[in-house]
Amino acid sequence: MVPITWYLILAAFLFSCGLYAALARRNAIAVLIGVELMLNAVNINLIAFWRYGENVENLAGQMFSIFVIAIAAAEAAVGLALIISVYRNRKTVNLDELDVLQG
Amino acid sequence: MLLTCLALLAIASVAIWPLRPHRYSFAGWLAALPPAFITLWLITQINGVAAGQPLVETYAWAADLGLELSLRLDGLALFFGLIIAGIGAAVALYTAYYLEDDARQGYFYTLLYLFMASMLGLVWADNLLLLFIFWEGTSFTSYLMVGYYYEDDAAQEGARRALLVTGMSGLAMLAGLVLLGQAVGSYSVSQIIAAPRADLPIYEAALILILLGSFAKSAQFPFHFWLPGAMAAPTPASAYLHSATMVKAGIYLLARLHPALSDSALWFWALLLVGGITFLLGAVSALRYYDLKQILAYATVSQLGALVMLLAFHTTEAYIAVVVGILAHALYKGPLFMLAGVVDHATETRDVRHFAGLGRMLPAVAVITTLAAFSMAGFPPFFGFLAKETLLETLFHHAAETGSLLGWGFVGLAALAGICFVAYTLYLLYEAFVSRESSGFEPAVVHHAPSWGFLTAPLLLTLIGTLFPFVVGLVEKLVLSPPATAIAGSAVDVHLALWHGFTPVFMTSLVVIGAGILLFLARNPVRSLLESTPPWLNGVYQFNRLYKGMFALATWTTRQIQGGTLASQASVVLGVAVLMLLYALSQLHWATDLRIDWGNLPHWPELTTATLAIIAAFVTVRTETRLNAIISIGVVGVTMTLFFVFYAAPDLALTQLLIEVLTVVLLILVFHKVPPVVRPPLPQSVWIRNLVVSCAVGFLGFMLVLISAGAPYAPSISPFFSLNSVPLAHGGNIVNVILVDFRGFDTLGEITVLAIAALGGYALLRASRLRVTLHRGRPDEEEQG
Amino acid sequence: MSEIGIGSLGSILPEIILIVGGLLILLLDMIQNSTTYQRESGRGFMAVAVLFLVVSLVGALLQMLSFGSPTSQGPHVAAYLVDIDPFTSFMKMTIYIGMTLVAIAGGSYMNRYSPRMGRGEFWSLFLFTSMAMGMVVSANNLILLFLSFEFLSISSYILAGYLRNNVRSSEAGLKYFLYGSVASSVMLYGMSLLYGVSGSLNLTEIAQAMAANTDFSIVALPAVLMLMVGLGFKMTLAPFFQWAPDTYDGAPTPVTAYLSTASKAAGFAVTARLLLIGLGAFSVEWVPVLSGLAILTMTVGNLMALRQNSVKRMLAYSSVAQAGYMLMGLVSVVSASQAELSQIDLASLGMNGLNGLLIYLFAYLFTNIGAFMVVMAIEEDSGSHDISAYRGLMQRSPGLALAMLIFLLSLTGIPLTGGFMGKFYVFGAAVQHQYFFLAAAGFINAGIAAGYYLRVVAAMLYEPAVDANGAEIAPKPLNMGMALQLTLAICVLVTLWIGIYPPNFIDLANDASRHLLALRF
Repeated sequence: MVPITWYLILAAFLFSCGLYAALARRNAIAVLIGVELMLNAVNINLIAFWRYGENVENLAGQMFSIFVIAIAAAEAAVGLALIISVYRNRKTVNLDELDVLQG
Repeated sequence: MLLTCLALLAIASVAIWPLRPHRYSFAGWLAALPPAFITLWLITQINGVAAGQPLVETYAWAADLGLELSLRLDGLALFFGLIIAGIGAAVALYTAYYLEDDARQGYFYTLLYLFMASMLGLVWADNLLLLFIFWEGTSFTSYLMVGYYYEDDAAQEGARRALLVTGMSGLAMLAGLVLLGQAVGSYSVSQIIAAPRADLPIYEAALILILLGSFAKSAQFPFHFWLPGAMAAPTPASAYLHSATMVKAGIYLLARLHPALSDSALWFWALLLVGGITFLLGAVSALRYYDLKQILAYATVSQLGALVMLLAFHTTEAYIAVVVGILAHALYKGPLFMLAGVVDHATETRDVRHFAGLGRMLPAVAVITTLAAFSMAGFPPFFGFLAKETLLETLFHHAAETGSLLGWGFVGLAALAGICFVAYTLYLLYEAFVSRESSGFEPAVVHHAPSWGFLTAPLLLTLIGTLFPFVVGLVEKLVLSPPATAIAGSAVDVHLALWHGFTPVFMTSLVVIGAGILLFLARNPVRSLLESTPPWLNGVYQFNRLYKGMFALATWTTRQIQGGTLASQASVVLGVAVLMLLYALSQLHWATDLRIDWGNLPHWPELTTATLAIIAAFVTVRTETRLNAIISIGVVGVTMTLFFVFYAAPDLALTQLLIEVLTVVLLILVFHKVPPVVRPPLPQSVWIRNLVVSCAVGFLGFMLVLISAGAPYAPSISPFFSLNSVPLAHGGNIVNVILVDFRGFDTLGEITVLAIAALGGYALLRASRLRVTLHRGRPDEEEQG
Repeated sequence: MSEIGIGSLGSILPEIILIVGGLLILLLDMIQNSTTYQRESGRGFMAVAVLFLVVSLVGALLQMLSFGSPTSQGPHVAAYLVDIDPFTSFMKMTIYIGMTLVAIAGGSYMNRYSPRMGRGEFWSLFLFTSMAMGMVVSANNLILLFLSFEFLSISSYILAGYLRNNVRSSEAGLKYFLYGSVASSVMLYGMSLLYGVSGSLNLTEIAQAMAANTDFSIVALPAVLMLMVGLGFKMTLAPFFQWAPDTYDGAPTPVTAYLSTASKAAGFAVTARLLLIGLGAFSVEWVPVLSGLAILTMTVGNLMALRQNSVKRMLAYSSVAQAGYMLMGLVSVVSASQAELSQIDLASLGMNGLNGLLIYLFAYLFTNIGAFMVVMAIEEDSGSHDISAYRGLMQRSPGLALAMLIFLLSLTGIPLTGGFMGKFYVFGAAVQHQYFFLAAAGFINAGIAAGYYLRVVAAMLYEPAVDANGAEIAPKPLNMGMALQLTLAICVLVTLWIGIYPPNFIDLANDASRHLLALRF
């Protein structure tokens, strides 16, 4: 079998891409997309660890992964709703312009 | 009865405010009743306590916590109690006249009583934690009293400074008390002082912390600066808190713990040096001020230093000198403050340069002040003379015994301070009452002469102080021996007399007085010398710098963090995360911990999918158009699905696909609603920031790869199940148990995920409803916040 | 150990009650919306929410009683995903009490500010949030832990941004969401690494695996640091706190009240459980990282609070600083060895650090909720949370001013208030474990904090009331609803009760802390 290392490296790469998008982009939607990438990376990890574990019958990793997918969906939905709500009030989703709350 | 006394004051404090005492002329006499009553009761206890039978009262409170409401009236507690309640009665009487016609007089009385209760509780408490609670009580009530004139900025600043210094050091002291209490195994003061504790492992730490609290409370160098600042308080508070009682709390604690903690070189040198420096510093500083209360404040600092210095010693003379010093100081400094207030009240100034021939205008004030001031200067046969004699005797004794140069140095130090005492006393009296010209300043006039009621309190205290040396033989066994015994931890017999013959000590006193008169005559050059000291030597200056620096730091931090955009805030987080990770990596042993197994390359389906995922992820992050981003995030999602298929997890793949489609649809929906942003070109700073962020993320990613590759992953957990399945779940067949029992709760998990999915869908519905309201603009949805 | 299976669903009965309540409110809301929403006042939903919260609180208390007398080490239910023991019960009690108080007091505020349509949503989400907190403190498995953690976060995002026509509220919600989602993704990655090395998602098994194989340390520390990002976000530790001031400021005040107390308490409980049980075994030196975070948190929080003119924002930063003090307790306990702890247990105060954290959380809950209620009352009266709106409060409403005074004293840590007890135990633990630098940082910070709390005290007690232009005006009395008065009274009484007569309560905290420490592997 292919060593697990390759999968973990792939996950680390995806995670870093997502983190970069989340931190450096100035658009709220881009941040959301970054978060999606990071969650995908986590899923790769979980599934790889599950598949390469000695006890494949124990589905804990797989189950965790299902939940992560569901959470990602919920997060996307709520996040987009919040983005729309802010957009209605401010006519922008550029994070540098969201400055009402700066004391 | 001790508790009743405290309760009496507490009740009085609540009752007096609503009575609005400023409306009645006799209010002062009434207000003096509760402390006077306590004083009388304490006098009745003197005999019993002096016979070695302390009064102990214990009430259950929170015994498990080591917190007991236990009060103990031994020699030291009684001695301090008498001072607190006795001078308290005088101050209560005085207050009514000082604050006449002030509508907030009742409020002041409330604070005064609360303070008095805290102070009495502090000296009576037989439990360290209880003592600390009262200690903080005195800090807080004194903060409110100093800040009584709320529209006066100097008063607010002084109050805040006093609270910050005493409050923070109080916390340090609490830490010390806790260390001590935990190490001894009891918080009972009488148990702790039953034996020397210098051999405890935490002795040094506890001692330093306790000294910190005591020194700050008693205005010792380098914390002495808060006391002169607190003089913005109404004069009754200055007379009571800042000379007679609160500043003695630190002295009290040192005296109280003397039997337990004093048996070490650390104790001796810390007290001797800090006390000695404060003694001299206060005495010299007093020479340069013009404000009556400032002069008295520095004199007080000096006197407190002398007391701390005396507590360093283990000799009978020292114990006697401490007790005499405390009592004498209370009996002359209290009245002097009160008289300064009388003068202030009559002339509306406290600056001695304004006074011209005040002695003829206020003869009674002049006489009483002279009596009290002579005691301060240590002229025989006043009480202050006794105090100075005992002090010098202690130092002489020590110097003769050790024969060291340092010992004689301290004798010289005390003499020097004594000279200053004499000089500023004469200066104060001369400028205020004798001199005929007001040295170029507008001369002060007496607006309204003080009534006799106003003078009663200082007069009484001064009379007691003046007469005391002549009757000392009669009362020393009852009043002075018990506290000295408590400080020593063993029986001490006090013998005092005004006249010992022409001893070296007496000769020194004479020399000091003579030199003091000379210094008084040379006061102007000395003052200009003192005034030329650079400002940074002043404690207040340093404190203010610290304080301003803190505010500047606060402003800077606030501007950095609060004003920042989301992305720049996030890069701070990232920076810290990288630092933390670097720390983590520095903890590892690379050679042994890191074992990378590269094995063979993946097969082509996996390789292709992975490459696709990587490219798509890269595009997602870097693309400029939004549609590209959506499409590429969709591609990443699909490659995920493929991986799940490779891993033979079909249900997972299905879920992933469904959710991925949902997400993409959602994103497109939102993009459709939110028009594209016209991007302004990136400013230089943002460009650099992004560079830093990407480097940091890159580093993080690299570390993740190392970690991912290097760790020994995936051991089995089956041993746990085979170990626990019978005892936990009463099952024999392991597989059955896993499926049925251990995963029974997964149903709950699935319920949870359903709820979350519902939440997601629900939010979607909300989003679409929002769109409806946006178009129609419902009347009831207008801005309401 | 009790039977594992469907029967042990009883152990999460309080949470099930909350779910039922939330769904019921949603149902009622749908019925209402279609017919009579124009007249709907929202109080009905609030009443239902409070009812269900009280019922589940009673459930949690009964659970607590079932562990026997407070001092005995009663049985505990360990099922596959949840762990019901005195520690869990203590946290559940704390959280449900807090949520109930917020619900009672927040009713009129939400009625006034929220849009007329769909008021039930708020209360049903409020119940779901409470449920998520109850679950997250009892989870002993990474799946449930993550799920309930996310459930809590997601519903809190919605609640923070609930006033969707209000710019401040919606921005608060979005900021909370953006920080929260990134932080929880990082945390999740850390969890996946833990799963990888230990092969299990159960905390006890993870601990066993860690103990069995020291090679894991290469992953363990990075994994823990990644976990700390997500948890630090919830606990508002610096530098992950930046969402907090903005969100606390912009969110509806009842939401702020629970975010800064109950939600934070949940974060601390999870962290304590993770660090003590899941990762207690392995040998990495924690203290530098955790104590660095503690000092940074309290210093930054206090410095920023110093410069605020809005009392709500000042309380937000002060809440950050308080998290730093709380972390001190945790630092002390995670670094202590079992032998040290049992020795401390014998000493008269038993300050092990964990009980200090619990006492602090509980006392702080009442104090801070009370303080935010005063903010709420002032906000409803004057529409402002600037410090000038507090001037002359003593004349306008002595009761409210005295209540605020007690809360501020408790936040400062003056003896005879609950805040002092918390600080006493936390600082005491740090001193006992000889972390003098940590305690010193705490002392200095407590001094700085006194400065800004006293500013509010001075404004309330001494300064005359002013209007919006700064001109002095005659003090006019301030009206408060019955519900607000009731909850304020409860908060004042409990704050004083913990400060003046704490033994029973401290027994509870001791018991809870001992239990968690006994589970440590």
